[in-house]
Amino acid sequence: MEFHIDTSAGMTAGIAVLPDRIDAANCALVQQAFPDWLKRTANIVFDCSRLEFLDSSGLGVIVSCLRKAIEHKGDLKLAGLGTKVTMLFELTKAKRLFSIHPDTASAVAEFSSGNNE
Amino acid sequence: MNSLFIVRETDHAWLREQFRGRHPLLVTLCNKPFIEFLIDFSILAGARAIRIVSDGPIAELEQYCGNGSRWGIEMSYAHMLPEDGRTRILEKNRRFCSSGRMMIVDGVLFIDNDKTANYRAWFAAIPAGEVIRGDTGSITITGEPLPEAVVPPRPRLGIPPVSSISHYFALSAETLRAGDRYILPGYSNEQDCFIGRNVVIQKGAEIRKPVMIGNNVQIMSGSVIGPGTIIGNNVIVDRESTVSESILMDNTFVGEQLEVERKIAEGNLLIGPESGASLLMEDPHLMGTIRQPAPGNRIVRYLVHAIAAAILIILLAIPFLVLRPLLALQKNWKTVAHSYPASTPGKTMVLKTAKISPDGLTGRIAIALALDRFALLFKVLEGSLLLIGHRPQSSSATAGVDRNPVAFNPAVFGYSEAEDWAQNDVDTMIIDHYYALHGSPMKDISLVLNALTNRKTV
Repeated sequence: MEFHIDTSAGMTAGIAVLPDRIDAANCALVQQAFPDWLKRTANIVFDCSRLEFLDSSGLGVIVSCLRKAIEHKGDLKLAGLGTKVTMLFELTKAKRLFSIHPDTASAVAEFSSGNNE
Repeated sequence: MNSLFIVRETDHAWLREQFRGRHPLLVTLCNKPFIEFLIDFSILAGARAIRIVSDGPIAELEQYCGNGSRWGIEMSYAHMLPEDGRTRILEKNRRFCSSGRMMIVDGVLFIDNDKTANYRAWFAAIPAGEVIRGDTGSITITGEPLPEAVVPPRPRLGIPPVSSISHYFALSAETLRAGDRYILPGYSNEQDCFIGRNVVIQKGAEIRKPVMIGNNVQIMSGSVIGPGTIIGNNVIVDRESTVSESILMDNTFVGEQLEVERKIAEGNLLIGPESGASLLMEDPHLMGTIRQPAPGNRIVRYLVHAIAAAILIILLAIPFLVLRPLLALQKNWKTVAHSYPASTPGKTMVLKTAKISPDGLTGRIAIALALDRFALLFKVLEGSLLLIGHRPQSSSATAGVDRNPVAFNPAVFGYSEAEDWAQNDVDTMIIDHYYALHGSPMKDISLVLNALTNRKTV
């Protein structure tokens, strides 16, 4: 998983590009990497443009990442959700928990505007 | 008048792809296959015979509709070539079409109509020709009208487009809202509410109209169903889930605390009708397919039950041989013969069941060990009873209960005895039906153990 810091909008935000699939087999990778990302910034964007499949354990990990980001006075925003993943977020009501953006640029811009929901 | 349905493979092929290879005319709209809506309309129009002509396999349709006796009409089937035009089709079915007035329903999946209107008089009086044309098909009348018949005002008639999943979704919602215009399955004493058979709505669940719920459906506590929701047959909506403006097709399981809004779900397939996107759920906790028992399952179930019954006979033989004479001496053992419903509908079987008085230690031990059922265990080996199924007492008390949705399996122990919440015969029947539908041979064994440990000795 790629992770890089973006300062283009005037503040530090971390962008993590999620793989095409997050399920019980690989969700631990996200869970293990997230504390390291948090050390660099608490404002994180998950770029979900490659994400095609998510199961309940993967969803659980993303929700736990959100919780950790909030505990660190930051936020976790999601960007570039595909139709299928959006359907899953709607089905599980997880859509209400996250700030969801069409792309990473708009998610980072929202961090800069200080509009952390 | 006769009706000729022309069904081409290319018509509505998208439905076959969308709904896992099912014949488009057998895809359900408000829990009723499209073909039934067409048959209903033909009957309203005065048809006495219907012929389905198709250039594709129609065995599935033939199996479903049979000879039409279910609707009181004659149904027949014929093949045609894909390149056959209307004239060629009529030539090939000359004898069927020679009876005079004929309604040709070509490439039509659904006809917007009103069951209260007098289509018979209108169709009998209008001149021959194309009556209506839709995006994919048309209705044409041939033959001479009744002489000197006055054409009544045109009744409601339309061919709505059904060429995409969004059309299908919109048509389902519209048909549910206009439920009084069609003959829809289900019953309720409230308008816009159609409830099927063997539907269990747990305490705390909420049903909002308009709504349609099929047969064998479980709505768990805290769930909200509707408005604008259609639930098919054999569906479970687990706790605290919301299903609104959606369609849950047959055999669908919806997991806990989910929100299905403006979606179509079929088994583990979730479809967004507006976007056309479909998501195959791999996670059975979220959504899944409820599988119907395979035909071989009955044999496996019998074998598992017979082995378990044999083990119980061996374990209980000595206590039975010791306690039975003692209880007889104490006059605490009575044997009564009763007639009970058998698994074959309409047939009864006579079973001798024991009644043990719980007075005294021996009586309580005998009840705890289920010695009153000991003799019935041999009936499991014979194959006339299951070890666990519908409780043997359910003769007169449940005689009026509709057993159509579930095979009735008289057994030594009732599924309801494995749970201790049943307060009355209806509760008992609900539990028995639930496990009859959703159980498995191995699960039956654990339920037998529960039934044994639940034995009340007072």
